[in-house]
Amino acid sequence: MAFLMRMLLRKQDAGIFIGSVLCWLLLSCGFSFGVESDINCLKSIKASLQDTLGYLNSSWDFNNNTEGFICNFLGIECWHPHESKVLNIKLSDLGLKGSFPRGVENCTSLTGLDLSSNQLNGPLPTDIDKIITFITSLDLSSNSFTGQIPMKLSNCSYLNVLKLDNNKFSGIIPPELGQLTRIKTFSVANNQLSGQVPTFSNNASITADSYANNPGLCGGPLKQCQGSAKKSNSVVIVGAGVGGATFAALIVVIGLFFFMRRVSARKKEEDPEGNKWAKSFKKTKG
Amino acid sequence: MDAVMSTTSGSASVWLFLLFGFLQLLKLSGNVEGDALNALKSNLVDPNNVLQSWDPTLVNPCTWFHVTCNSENSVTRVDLGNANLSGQLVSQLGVLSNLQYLELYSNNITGNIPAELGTLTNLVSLDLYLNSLRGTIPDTLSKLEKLRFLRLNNNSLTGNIPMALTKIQSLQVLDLSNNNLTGDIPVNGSFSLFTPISYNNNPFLKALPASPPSSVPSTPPSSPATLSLFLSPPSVC
Repeated sequence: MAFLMRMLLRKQDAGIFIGSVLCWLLLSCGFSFGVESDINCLKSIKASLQDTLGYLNSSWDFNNNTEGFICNFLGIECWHPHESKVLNIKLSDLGLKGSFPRGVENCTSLTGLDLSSNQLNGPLPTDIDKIITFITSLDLSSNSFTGQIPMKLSNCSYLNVLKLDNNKFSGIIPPELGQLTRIKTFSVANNQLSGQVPTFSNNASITADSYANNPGLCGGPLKQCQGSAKKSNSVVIVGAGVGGATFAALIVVIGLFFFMRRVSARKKEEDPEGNKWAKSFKKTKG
Repeated sequence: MDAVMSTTSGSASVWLFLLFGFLQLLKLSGNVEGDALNALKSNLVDPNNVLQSWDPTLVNPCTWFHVTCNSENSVTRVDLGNANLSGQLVSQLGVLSNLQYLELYSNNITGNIPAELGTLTNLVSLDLYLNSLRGTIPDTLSKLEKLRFLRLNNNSLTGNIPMALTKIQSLQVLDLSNNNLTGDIPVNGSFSLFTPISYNNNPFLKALPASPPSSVPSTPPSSPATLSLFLSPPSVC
């Protein structure tokens, strides 16, 4: 009996112990839960990029867990000094390699991203509007990005600055980018783009320089696109159609003509004196 | 002889008087800023005694803790963030003409934002966030032509966001989240840089025209101790 009582007491103690540990865990989670995403964002960026010069390795130390510690990381600007809420990420010219770091998605309050002058490659995510939803300044210039400029960038309606120059983007510039009403700076120079450039709502500072050194861009501040070639094409098609119809009609007429001749020739064969029926009618009448 | 004597003593006393007055004036001008900060101290409740070093009898406040001066002994920074202060701000803060950083965040300060802060034309950072301030955002703040950081989030501010603030070309970071502001959100001028993040959790603020109302996300208050989910991005920007 006493032994059982002792067992029970022990269990109670264990229960209290476990309970308080859980409580402590929950509290510590609670303290960091609100900023967990931004810390994970930076962890993910560090993991996905190749840090060839070791800058991130030395500065981005995730062991120190004080409030807002990531705000002192190289290239990181926070909204407030002692809260881990990332405002801007500026990692220009740090010898970084790899593809566009999708982990940026977890920096949910990010307004500025500068990854310029690195050795990043590959295409940009097609769902980029979900990754950098509130971005106002995006600088990916001077890298080796390839593929098409994502159409969904046009959903990032707060963009003021969009720099994609000096990369290897190909295909057309999505015309939807013209819907970005806040654009002040836009550059796609030195890529492999072609086609009609977008029509921006206020062509403030989008000069030909923004499009320079692309093999086939046209329209806007550049020379007009080959719209006349398109026109002559349709003329040719219409002309061909009309001509073909006319030709077919001619064939039919000629064919009919010969057919009729054959018919009348056969009639004459059958009835050399012709109109036998008419004569017989006359006879009856007469 | 008497006349000469009286004239000499007369002019001497005049000169002494002027000298005395000048010295007094010197002492006073060195203390205008100290007096202003002392007025602030008198209006604040300071349980942690962070303002203990604020001695108004000193010639200037430049030796006070949490006060920084420039080479001309004029106040450039007041750093009282996270100091457990309560009470209210004072209009005298407006005389600190060389003030660049006013850091009063994370306290329990009540009352209004003094309109006189609009005279602090050298101000670069105005951080009054995480307090219990009420009333409106004074439109006099639009005169702060060098302002880069305007963080008034997590208070109980009401009224409209002054349109005149869009004229501040230097503005880089704006945080008005977690207040009770109303009216429209400016999008012109420098405010084209700001997104719904800057205005989050103002239930009666009209949504930004560029994005549908449903996309205004619900972030947790800046207080880290809240158990709430992180900002969930909308499906469409």
